Amino acid sequence: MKMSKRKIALLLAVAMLIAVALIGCAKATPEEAAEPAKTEVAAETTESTETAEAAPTEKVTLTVWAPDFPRVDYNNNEMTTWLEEHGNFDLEITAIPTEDYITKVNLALTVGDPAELPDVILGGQNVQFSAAKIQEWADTGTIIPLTEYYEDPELAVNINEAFERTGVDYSKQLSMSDGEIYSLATFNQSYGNEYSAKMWIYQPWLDALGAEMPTTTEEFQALLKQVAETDLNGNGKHDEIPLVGAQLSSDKGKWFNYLMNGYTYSGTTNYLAVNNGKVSAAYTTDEWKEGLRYIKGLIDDGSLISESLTMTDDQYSAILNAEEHTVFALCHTTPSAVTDKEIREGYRIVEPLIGPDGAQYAWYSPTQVLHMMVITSNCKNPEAAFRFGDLMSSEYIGISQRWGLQGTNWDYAAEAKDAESWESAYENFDLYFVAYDDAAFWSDTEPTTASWLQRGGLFVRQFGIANGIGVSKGAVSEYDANVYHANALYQTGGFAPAEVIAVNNGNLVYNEDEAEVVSELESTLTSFAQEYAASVLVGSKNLDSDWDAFLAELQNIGLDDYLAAIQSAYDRTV
Amino acid sequence: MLLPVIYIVIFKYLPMIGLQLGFRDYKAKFGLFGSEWVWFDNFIKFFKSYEFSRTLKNTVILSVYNIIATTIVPMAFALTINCIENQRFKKITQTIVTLPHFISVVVLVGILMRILDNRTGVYGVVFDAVTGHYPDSVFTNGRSFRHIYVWSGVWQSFGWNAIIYIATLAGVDGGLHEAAQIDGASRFERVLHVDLPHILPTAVILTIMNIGKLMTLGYEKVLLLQNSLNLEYSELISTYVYRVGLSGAVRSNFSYATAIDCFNAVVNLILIIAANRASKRVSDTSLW
Repeated sequence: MKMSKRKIALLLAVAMLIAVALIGCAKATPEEAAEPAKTEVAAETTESTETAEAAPTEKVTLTVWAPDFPRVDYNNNEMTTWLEEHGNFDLEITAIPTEDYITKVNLALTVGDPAELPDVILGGQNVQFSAAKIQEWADTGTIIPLTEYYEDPELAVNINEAFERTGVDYSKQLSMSDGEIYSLATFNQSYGNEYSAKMWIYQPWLDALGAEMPTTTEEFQALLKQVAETDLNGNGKHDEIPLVGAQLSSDKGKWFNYLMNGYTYSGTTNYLAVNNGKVSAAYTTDEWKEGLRYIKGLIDDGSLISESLTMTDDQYSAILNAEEHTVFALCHTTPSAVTDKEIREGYRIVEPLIGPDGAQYAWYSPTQVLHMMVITSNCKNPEAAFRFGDLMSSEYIGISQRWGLQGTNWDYAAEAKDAESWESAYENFDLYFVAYDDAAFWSDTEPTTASWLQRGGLFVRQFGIANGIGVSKGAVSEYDANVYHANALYQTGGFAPAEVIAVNNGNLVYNEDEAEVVSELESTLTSFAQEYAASVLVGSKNLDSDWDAFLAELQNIGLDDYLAAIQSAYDRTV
Repeated sequence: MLLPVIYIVIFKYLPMIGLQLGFRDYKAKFGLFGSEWVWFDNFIKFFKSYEFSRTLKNTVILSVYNIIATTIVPMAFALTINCIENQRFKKITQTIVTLPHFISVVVLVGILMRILDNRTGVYGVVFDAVTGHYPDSVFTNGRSFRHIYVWSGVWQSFGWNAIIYIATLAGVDGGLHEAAQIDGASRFERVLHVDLPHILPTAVILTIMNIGKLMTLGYEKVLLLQNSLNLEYSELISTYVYRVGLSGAVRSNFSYATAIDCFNAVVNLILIIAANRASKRVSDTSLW
């Protein structure tokens, strides 16, 4: 039975490929299709320069596709009205079911009739366009390059302002391997997401031991050992788990990076580090070796349970939420995996540990762009379409997308009602704006006309928005306060190295050759490094005597080719 | 008659057109027929790759182990249940052991992980109740992977696979048993000399067919059971194909995956022909 299922799946996949290929054959070659689109764009821009200064007097009609959401009627919405007024548009938005939105868009852009495409196709929450898809559509010639619009300061007004607001020129991350930009994007800076490997320990037990918050790897080890030897939950059994995590390749496998960061910066998902512009794999360094020795020590002490190397996220959650509370330390963005409210509140943040040689780093993955809007080759007025995307990159939409209508749902701090009863969520940020009844606005099930609720289109938010949001004085829950404190501690602590490669190498854009090398080698190398680390930690391999063989095997797999490809992508895009 | 032929042509022969993918450098924009020919480059890349020897070895060992266990257990079960006189008991037992066959792989692995969990699972709780401490996790021991894989599969499928043997045993001529009894054969000797020879041809045919699938162990269950500690034993050709071909983080390499699977199919074809020949020579039983 297993076999036949797999075969059917394969057959279907192959059948689909054939279908796509056959239809692809019938059409003109992609280069031919792309040409007219490009010349059209050029023509539009030359005549545009005069009109760009003032908003165009003539109303431009734009047809738009957006993913649907039961609470939002795009054509009867204040945000639509705002965009139409400020850009002098007439927007005709077609909502398409979210479930198969990407499939539908993909079909329309690869094998559909280009004459039936709308002017603009928007992504939305949970339906972003992957870089690979953008590249594919660009190759097919059904979406047009936007680089020259980005470079035109009179067109990309709000986008340039967004670069300033966020302090990041995120357009770099948008360019594809041919150097052109094909999309407009959401860029959402917020604390918490950038530093997702944070260590949390259970404060009540720390108090019971009369111990201090650990600051070094050594202190941490001693503390965990103490926990392992004491019956802190008082059930007469040694069932306390000092430290637990899930397997390295999983989302909850970041404990490994956290512990390793006391020795060397261990990167993120692929363990890549950058020093003075030079990319290297952290797992080949001597510091890594010492880090492994330290972690092995934790396992040998009984402090870190060895199941941490094999558990899935589900099994990990099962342990955290076992009937009897047993877990002292865990590592994740927040302790939200703990479902019991009281226990969850007990977890407090630990700073990144200082290693024996003074190393102190934190997993850092800077905010990444999400491709959210493309302009099709069927668009008669791509410049206007670009202005539409630019308008959505404004700060007003940045707030309005999520919090609704200014004056009704929210106000800037200066105009806020009862200004004195609000304070900013983060101490080190000024109160920026106040959203009055956000829980009701956001979680309501009734339709709203106040905004698109981020379900369609894009938005750009700098740290100051999410962090400067008003919270009712004295009404913040203990858990939220813990999380705000932890986020601020990591974000402002200076624990990140100057140069980094983001999660899943998200800040790199590969060209054809690099993509080939990376797609072939990356998963093998990363899983081999994890395999070796895990084997050493449980003792089935010897750290010292097997180390050279490990390095040799990495060379054998092709570490040098891989790093060379990453390096050239890094040099070009970061 | 026509329907099955149409089915086979559409779902088995037409898709083979896609095999050319393995000999091309597939690019979506040029399509299946427009991509550049690279002939055997993808195959050579696989043979030279680091994963080749390890995945091949793991696939063969796991397959052979699996075939042996899933052949012997249902046979033994069929022979045993055939000896039972109580019809009611026989039927109920058969129904119970057939049921696991209908559990999906994902659910099965979920159940396995829960049961074998060394702290929260039945295994851990019982071990703790008896000895007073938790056992080591079975999943941190890479070597246990093959046994977990094979024996959970046996548990799931032996009842179902035994059906064909039980049906064959029903066809044993009662006269043979009587004659054996008159000659003074014990119950066990009758199983050995009457029942077993009767189902052997069926077993041989089934084994030949299984050998034809030797290299194509389903990847779902293996993927679900995989972790960094058992990768040394659990990375198979099929999971590798999945990893580079379909789930590539950077880019899916369809050509390379097709080439590897094509290699797999060729090896299977050779194996099934060889097994058939060997069986023909040794036992006169063969598929064709």
